[in-house]
Amino acid sequence: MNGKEEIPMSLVWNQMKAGNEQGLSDLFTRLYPDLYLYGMKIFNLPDLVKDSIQDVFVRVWEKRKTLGEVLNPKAYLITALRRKLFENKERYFAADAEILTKISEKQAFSFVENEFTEIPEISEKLRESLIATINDLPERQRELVFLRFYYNLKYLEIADILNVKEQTVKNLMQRTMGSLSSKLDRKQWERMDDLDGLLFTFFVFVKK
Amino acid sequence: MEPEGKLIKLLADETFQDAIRTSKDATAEEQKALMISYGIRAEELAYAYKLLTAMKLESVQPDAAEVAYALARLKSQVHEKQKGNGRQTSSKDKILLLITRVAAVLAFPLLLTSIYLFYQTNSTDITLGEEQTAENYNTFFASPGAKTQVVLPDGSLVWLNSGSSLSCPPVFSAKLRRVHLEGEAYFEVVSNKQVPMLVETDHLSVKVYGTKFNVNAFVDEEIIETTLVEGKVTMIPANSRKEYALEPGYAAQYRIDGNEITAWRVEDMDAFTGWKDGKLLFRNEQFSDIVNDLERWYNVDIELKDPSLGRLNLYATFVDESIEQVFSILSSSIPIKVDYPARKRQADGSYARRKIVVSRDHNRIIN
Repeated sequence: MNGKEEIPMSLVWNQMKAGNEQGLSDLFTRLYPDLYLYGMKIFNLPDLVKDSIQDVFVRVWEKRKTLGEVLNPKAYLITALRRKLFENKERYFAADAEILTKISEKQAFSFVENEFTEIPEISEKLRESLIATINDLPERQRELVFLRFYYNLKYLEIADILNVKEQTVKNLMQRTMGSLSSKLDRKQWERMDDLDGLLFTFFVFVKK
Repeated sequence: MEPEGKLIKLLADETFQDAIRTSKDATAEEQKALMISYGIRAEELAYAYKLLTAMKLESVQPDAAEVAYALARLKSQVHEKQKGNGRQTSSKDKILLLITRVAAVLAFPLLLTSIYLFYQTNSTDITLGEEQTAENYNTFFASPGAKTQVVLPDGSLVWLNSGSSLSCPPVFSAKLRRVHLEGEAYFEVVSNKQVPMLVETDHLSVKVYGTKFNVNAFVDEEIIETTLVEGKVTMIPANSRKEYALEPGYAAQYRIDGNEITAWRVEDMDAFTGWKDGKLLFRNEQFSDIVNDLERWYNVDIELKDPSLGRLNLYATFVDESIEQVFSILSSSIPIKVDYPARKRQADGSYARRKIVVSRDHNRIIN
C-alpha cells in the first residue's frame, strides 16, 4: 500500500496459521498501528483499545487451527476488534460507575485536518470545508468514510465489519456522497483557478 | 435519471472510486476514456477526482517503542497460555521472547524497576495471591516539614507530603495492589490492567490501573480531594458500593460528613500537585486552610488570634521560601501582624515545636 515491497499479508497470515510465532509477530507489528487508530476512533480510551487488541490476537493465535478461510486478514481483525471493543467497554467504564465528567468530548470517528493527506490540487480552504462536512455526517457514515478512505477496504469487507449486507454499504455510501455533494460548494470544487499556479493535469486537459 | 443523482451514484460506486483514485497520473487520453465510459463531463470528473482524493486519510506513523512493548505483552500472554496448556516452548521461542522483552524493557525503564523489585521481594516466603494481613504492612512516613518519595513493590512511585504516611505489603497480591494512605500523596502508578491499585483512606478508596494522580486525605480535614493528571481513576466512598469515575484534568472533592462528591475541571494542575516539586500554590483558598498547610509544610504551630482572619480568601505561590518570607509576603496582601515568640524549653531540656502567632493588624485596612 505504501509502495514498499513487503511480504503479502496473506502469506504472513498463513505463517501465523501454521503456528509460526514469527508470523504472529509480523502480523501484529504490521497491523497494530491501524488497529489502534481504528479503536481510538470508536472509543477515545487508550487502555480499552490496547487491551482489546491484545485479546483479539491472543484469541486468533489460540484458534488458529480452526479458523476458516480469511481473504483479508486486516478486515478480519478489524471486525474482531470492533466486536471486542464493544464487549470489553463496560469494564472500562467501571461497573455501574456514575460518570461525573464526560468520558470524552470527542465524538467517535471525527477527523482533524492533519489526518488528511495533503494534495496540491486541493486548497486549504477546500480541505477545511470538506473535513467540517465529513464531521457533520452521522456517525455510521463517518465510520464508512474511515473504513473506505483510510483502509481502502472493499464494500464486501466493510459490510462484514459493520455486520450488514453489501447493498446496505452501497446505499450508505450513496447517502454519504449525496450529503457531501449537497453541502460542499460545488462551484469551488469544480473551479479551475484555485490552484495557485500548480499544474494539474485534469485542468490542462479541460482547458484544451 | 437526473444528472445530479447519476453523479452521486457514480461517486458512491466502488469501481468508479477505485478508477478515479488511481488516476492521478492519467494522460489526457485516459482521462477522456474515463469521461466516456462513465458518461461524465470534464467538470464532473474534476469534482470527482478532487473529492475522492481529498478524502484520502494519512496513514499513521507507528511508534516503534509502543508497538515493541505491545508485542512483548502479546508474546508473554501467548506463552503463559501455552504453559498453562502443558506445552513446552522451544528454545528458539525463548530467545525470541527474551529479545522482545529486552526491547520492551529498554523502551520502558519504569517497567524494569518494577520487574526488578518484584523478583527481589518475591524471594521472601510469601506466596502470591494470598491476601496480606495488615500486620506485616510496611509503613512509610514523611515527618512534618519533610517530604518523602517511596517506591512500591510494583515499581510505582509515591511522593508523600509532610505529615503523611503510607502503608503497603512487602509484596502485592496477584489480584489487588492495596495501599493505605493518611495525609496527602502523589502517585505515579505502573500500569497493570489485571491488577488494580486500591488507595485506601479512612473514608474513601481510589481505584486505579496505572496513572498519575494526587490524593489529599488529611485526618483533620473534612474533605478528601482527588486530582487526576493522567489516565483514569474511580473513587469508592467507604460506606458505598458505587464507583465514581474521574477524568484527566479534573479534581473531585468528597465531603465526609455530607457523603457527597463533586468534580470540577482543574485550571492549574500545579495547585494540586506542585507540592511534590517544592511549590506551594494556593488558588482562592481560605486563609485557615493555608495555615493548615503551612503548619505541616514547615512543621510549626500557627495560632490565629482572630478567627475571622481564617475566612479571608487569597491566591499565593511560594517556591522554596522560609516561613518568615512566606508571612512577609502574606502580610502585604492581608491585614495581619505576625509574631515569632521565643521557643520554650521543655522540662526534659528539648525545645517545643516552634510557634507563630498571627493577629489582625488594626492599623491597616485592606479592601
